[in-house]
Parts: sequence; C-alpha cells; structure tokens
Amino acid sequence: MSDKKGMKIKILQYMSFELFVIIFVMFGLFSQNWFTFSNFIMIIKQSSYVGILAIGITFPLITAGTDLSVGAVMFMGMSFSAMLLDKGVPLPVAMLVALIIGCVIGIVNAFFVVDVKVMPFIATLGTMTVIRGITLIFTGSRALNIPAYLTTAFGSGKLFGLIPYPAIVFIFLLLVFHIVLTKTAFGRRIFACGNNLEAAKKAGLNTRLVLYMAYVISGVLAAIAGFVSASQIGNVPAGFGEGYEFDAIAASVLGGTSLLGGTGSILPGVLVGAVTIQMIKTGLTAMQINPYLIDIFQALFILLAVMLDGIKNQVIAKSQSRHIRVAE
Amino acid sequence: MAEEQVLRLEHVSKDFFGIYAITDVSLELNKGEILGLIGENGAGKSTMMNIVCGVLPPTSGSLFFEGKPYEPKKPSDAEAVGISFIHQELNLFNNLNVIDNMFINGFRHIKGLPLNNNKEMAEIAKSALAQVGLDISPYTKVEKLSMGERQLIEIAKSILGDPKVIIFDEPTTSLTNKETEKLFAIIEKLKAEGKSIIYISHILEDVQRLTDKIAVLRDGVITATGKTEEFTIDRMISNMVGRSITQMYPPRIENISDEILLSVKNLSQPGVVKDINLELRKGEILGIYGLMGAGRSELANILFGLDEYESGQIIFKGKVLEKKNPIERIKAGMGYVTENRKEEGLFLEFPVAENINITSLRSLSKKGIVNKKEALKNAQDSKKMFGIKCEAVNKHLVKGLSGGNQQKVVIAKWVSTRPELLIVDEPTRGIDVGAKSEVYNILNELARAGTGILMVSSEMEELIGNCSRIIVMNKGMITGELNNQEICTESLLHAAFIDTAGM
Repeated sequence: MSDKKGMKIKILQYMSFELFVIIFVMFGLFSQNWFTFSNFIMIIKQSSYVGILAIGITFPLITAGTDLSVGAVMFMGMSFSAMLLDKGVPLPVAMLVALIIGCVIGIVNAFFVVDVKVMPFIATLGTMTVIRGITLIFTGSRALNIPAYLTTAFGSGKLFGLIPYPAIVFIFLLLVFHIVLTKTAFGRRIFACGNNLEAAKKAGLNTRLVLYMAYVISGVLAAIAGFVSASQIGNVPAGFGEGYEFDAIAASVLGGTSLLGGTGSILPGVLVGAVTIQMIKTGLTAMQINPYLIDIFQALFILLAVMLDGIKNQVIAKSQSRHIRVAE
Repeated sequence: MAEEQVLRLEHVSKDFFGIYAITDVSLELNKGEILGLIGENGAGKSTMMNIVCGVLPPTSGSLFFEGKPYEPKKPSDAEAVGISFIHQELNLFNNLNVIDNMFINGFRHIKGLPLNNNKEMAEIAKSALAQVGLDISPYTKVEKLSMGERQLIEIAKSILGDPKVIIFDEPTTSLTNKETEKLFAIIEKLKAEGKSIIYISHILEDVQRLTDKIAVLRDGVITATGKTEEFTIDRMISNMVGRSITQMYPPRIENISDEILLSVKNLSQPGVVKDINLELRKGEILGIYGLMGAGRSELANILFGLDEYESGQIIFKGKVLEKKNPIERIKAGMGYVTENRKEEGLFLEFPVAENINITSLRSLSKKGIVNKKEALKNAQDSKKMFGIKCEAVNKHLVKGLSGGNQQKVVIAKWVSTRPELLIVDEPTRGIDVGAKSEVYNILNELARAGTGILMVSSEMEELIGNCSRIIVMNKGMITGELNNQEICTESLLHAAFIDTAGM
C-alpha cells in the first residue's frame, strides 16, 4: 500500500476527531466568547445528559440492536420521581424509583427483542410511545416542578466552584462504563454477540443474559440522564426527553459505534460524539439565528456528520478488502 | 487390551419424527488414533457428531467415554469430558482479538475483581499459539488474520481445555495448500501427544493420507469401516454412493466451434489483474486454475461486470462490453455461478422455484406481471433436468437442501436464461462426490449444446477432467496455458507456482 493511500485511511479513521476540531473552530469564528474556558466547561456540562444517554445506548447498538425508548424513559423516570418528591418522599427513594423504572423498561425491551424476537427498533419504538403515554396520563401534560435544591446544589453547582456536577457525573459514568466495556467478561461478550450471535450461542455463551444486560444498562442510564437533565432545566416539562434518542444514537455513531453492531467505544467514542453534538447545538444558538432554523440545522448537521462517518467506513472497508499482489 | 479405547458408540440410532437419520451405528475410537469419517451430504455425519457432542440425544443405543457410560445432555457436557468440536464454519468473532476469542467462555479474572486479567491470558494464549506453530501477538484482531490462521486459532482455543478427542469438520475448505500442510502437521502432532481425532472431509485424498482408520456412512448406516490401508479412493467412493463411479468425469464429446464467443484483450486493473488476454469459443470449456489469491475470482467478477477495470477490452459476441454493467451482460447472454453459493448465489429463505426463476422473470412475465403457471413449469422443468432433490419446488426452501442440490439450483437459475457463456467459479466446492459428478455432467451437456463455459477452480482434478484448455493464473497474471494433450498435474502446478519475476 502506498504512503498516500495509507495517509488517506489515517485521515478517515480519525474523522470523528477532525470533525470535532473543524466544528469547534468553525463556531469559534462565528461567535464571541467561544474560545474560553468557561464556554468549554459549559459545553461539557450541557452535553452531559445526551452523553449519558449515549453511553447507555451504545450497549444495545453494539449488539446490533437499538433503544429508541431512552428519551421516554428519561421522561417517565423523572416524572415519577418529581411526583414522589412533591409528596415529600426523600430524594434517595425517589431516585431509586426512577432507576427501577429504567431497569424494568430495559427488561421489557429485552423481553420483546430477545424472547419475542421483535426487531429492536420496532420493539423500542413501541415501548417509547407506550411509556410516554402512560406518563402523560399521570402528569396530565403539566410541567412538574422539582425541588429547588436539585437545581442549586446539583444542576448548577460546581465542585470547588470550578467543575459542574453534571459534568462530573458524566465523566464518572464514562470511566465506569469504559472499564465495563473493555475490561470485563461481559464487555467482551457483548462485542461477541454483536459480531455473530449464532457463533456466540454455539460457543456456549449465555447470549440471552448478555442482551438483557445491554437493554437494562441503556434503561438505567436513561433514568440517570433524566435526573441530570431535569436538574439543569429546573422542572420536567411535558416534552421532556423528546427526540433525545436521535441525539444519543448520533453521538454514539459519531464516536465510532456501528449501527451494524460489533464495534463501538465509550472512551474516546461517546465523549467525542456527545461533545460534538452539543457544540453544534450551542454554536447555532450562539450565532443567534432564528430558533426555528436551529432545530433544522442541528438535525442536518448531525445527519451530515453521521453520513460522513458512514462514507468513511465504506471507504476504509473497500481499501482494506483483499488485494492481490500483482507482479510489477 | 492392546489399545486404549476413548470413545465407543454402540448401536446408536436417531430418528426425527419417524425418519431415521442414523441407524444402528457402532464405532470405536482409540487413544492416539485418527478416524476419518466420510459420506455424502445428508449421510448422517452431522447427526452422529451432534449426538457425540451433546447437541442431540440418541433415540436408542449407548455411548461410552473411556469405558464409562456417557450421556451428554448439552454441549458443555461433551466439553467437560474432553470432546472438542471444530466446526466447518469457524466460530470466531472477527471484531475481537485472539485472547478474547480463546477465553470467551471462561475469562480469567484479576483476583478479587471482575476485571479480565489480560496478562495472564496472554501468557496462556502465547503457549497455545506456539503449540499450533502460529507466531502472532495474542492481541491481534481476528479480522486481520487469514483463514488458515483463524483455523489454527480455533485449534489453539480447543487445546486450551486439554481435550482427549478433537473433531474436525471439513477443516480445509478455505485453506491454501500451504496452510493445509501446516494443519496436517499439527494434527499429526496432536495424535503423537495421545489425542484422538475424528476427521470429517470430502477430500478423500486427504482422508487417505492422514487417517489411521476410516468409517463410511451412507444413508445413516455405516457401510464400511477398517484400516485406512484397506481403502482405495475408488472403494471409498463406492462405499459412499453405493455404486462405483468409474466415470467421475463425463466422456467428452467435444463440439467446439470456430466462433469466438468471448475475447479479452490486455485487461488490467491495478492490484488485481494485469494484462489478461484470453479467448473462449462456443462449446468450449475453458479452465482457469490458480492458487488462492491468484486473481481467478477477481477476473471472473470483472468479466461479469461486477468490478471495474482500468484498461483493456472485453469483447462478447463481437461487441465491446461496457466497463461495469452486469445487467448488460445478462441481457447479452452471460451467466455467473459465483464462488460462494450461500452468500452470493441463493436466497436461502426463498423456495427453490423463486430461486430458479429470479433471473428469468422478464421472459416469464407478460406486461410486467409474472405468469405463475409458466414460472412453476420453468422451475419444475429445471428440477427434472438437473435432478434437484426436493419436494414441491414452490414450497421447499433452498436452505433446506443439501449443498449439492443447492449448487444445482444456482446452475439451473442461470441455465434457464439460456446463456451463451456461463462463468462458473468453484462449481463443486463443499459438495459430495455424487453431486460433483452430476454437476460435471450438466456442464458438459451445456457445452455440447454450444454454451461456452469458463470454469474457475482451485481443484486441479476437476479442471483436468472437464476442460479442453486450462489457463493458469499467478499473482494476477496469466502464467501458462495448456491444451488437453499437455494437461497434467505437474505442468499445472509448475505454472501456478512459477516465479513471475523470473519470467
């Protein structure tokens, strides 16, 4: 292989990082106060809940599945927590309830995907609609208030007055699930299941357990993301978490997760992906354009980024395909 | 007792809903012995191995392992006593490294933590890799390895558990000659270490060379067992098919016209093929031989318009073809039986009829609507003509056919387009002797009727037996051409191995 070609592949392989840098610089040219430490910290903080969702969704994605219910899980978990908190239930109990909701929905998703054998996107699209509907019945489409201390102490609080707590939670979860994915037997087996489920069964792996775990992780992390997000917003509006599954999948894919399963990473993958997406959002807002256009641009940007990523994979796959050494 | 018995099957039978898959099979395997198990597809080899490995329970009969009754309920029971099965389709995960693959169902942990101890596993993996003579880092991803290396990884993985019996199912189908030699050396070594081996293969020469004793299965019954010395290839075949195939290859009645059907001029594509020139006449069977990676299949893909090329010309029936356009070629009368029938040649979940008709839907339809009657008739005619063994053509799914019958479906699919040129790539890979002979007959019939056939193969025997001329490729170039007077194994090999740099 010639050096030129090798270079081309290198450039493509690190495209997520390059996109990251390009988008970072581009918005910097258009907006004021972009290249400041406080802006950077703010982006990390704001990317925290999409990032946490993306950590979770990466697990079903690696198994060649998906989880479209994450935004709805955020909504349901946080709504019930907020209602309990309103009734004076202590915070840890309310949080536990949200986590249990996430866990149960994860199990339900896995049941449909693994045991009933419904295609993951249909199964989780179904649960997404159902749980959002159920929650709306309970909340009556009202925005729910959450205790002010959640916002002051956590949502906008900073460790040593420097690093926002949501960012710390995000980074902590990144580290934990990076280790889970790369260093534990479960982590390796999830890759095996995503690569070839039949072979994994033949190898004697408990593929059912592995797949259930993947959806449960996704559900539980979505519940955590609900807390992180609500404590930043200050309440739980009726459209809470709506459309976040798109951001989460995009963040994971930008970070190198393949929708075909078998590949993906938490570090650096999800971190780079989530921050890139948040930069696009923040950058567009900072440019002070028509808010209606922001949504459109945002989606187009994300689609473009994911599309480039797809092209990259195709080109790399093509260049690495079998080559015969022709006599010169 | 002269020899130590490891595995014994006594009067084992298995029926599925009243139909016997194997009947009254008795077999013995001694320590340090290689048993060759041969039989046509569907003869019951897989059923038998599935019983041994605990995948299926026998209907009647009993199994003994090292003299003790052995009743495996699940695959892990077989592993626990020391039986290891290396499947034909390798069970590796390409996206993981060698360590992960070897320890996937039993990772070693760092003491007291749920974290994998990669260091410890790497050490163990290294010594296992050394035993199979593979000098690679245990951290290498499997997707970077050749098929031969992957096979060796499977073996290394299986010897980790220190098995007493290792079963190989068609281990050489995707290996190069060199890799096959290496595999055989390792099997010999395992034998010397006192392991017992069951070797299943369609390549009878290999079975003859490698094994100590042979068992032949036909229709679920053992038709012959004995020491390998007592078997000639002919005897193996006649035991397998129940008749002797004196004539594996059909007698050639050549009907080659002077009319040139296909002519390729100076065809080159960097990194794939270089300066290819060839001509094929009507009614001719032209062979293309080469070792794996010589560029045979790549050339076939280019000729059929699937892959692009940089320079040169492909002229079919006097007309220069477009560079990359298979549709044009099909319309002009070309057909292509690809190397890999399951992935590229068939819709496994579709019935036989739909598979056969897929290429001729245009001629089977009126005003864009498929004429069901005609389509069914076309499929039934093909079934009859090719002797495809299946139930109703519009019901029987292709995935339920044996390899040989699947291959016939692929060929039938193209023949029903009435092609003038048929490219066949590895037309008999992985199918049994009886089906092979039938495929050769079909191809010869076609040639006699005037079809030009380009037969790409890595099996010398079949090229010698079928082709009037053979072109030899090496490193993407044509390095030799032999007509049927000069064709012999030695001259083919000479051209295939020849160092092109020295020419």
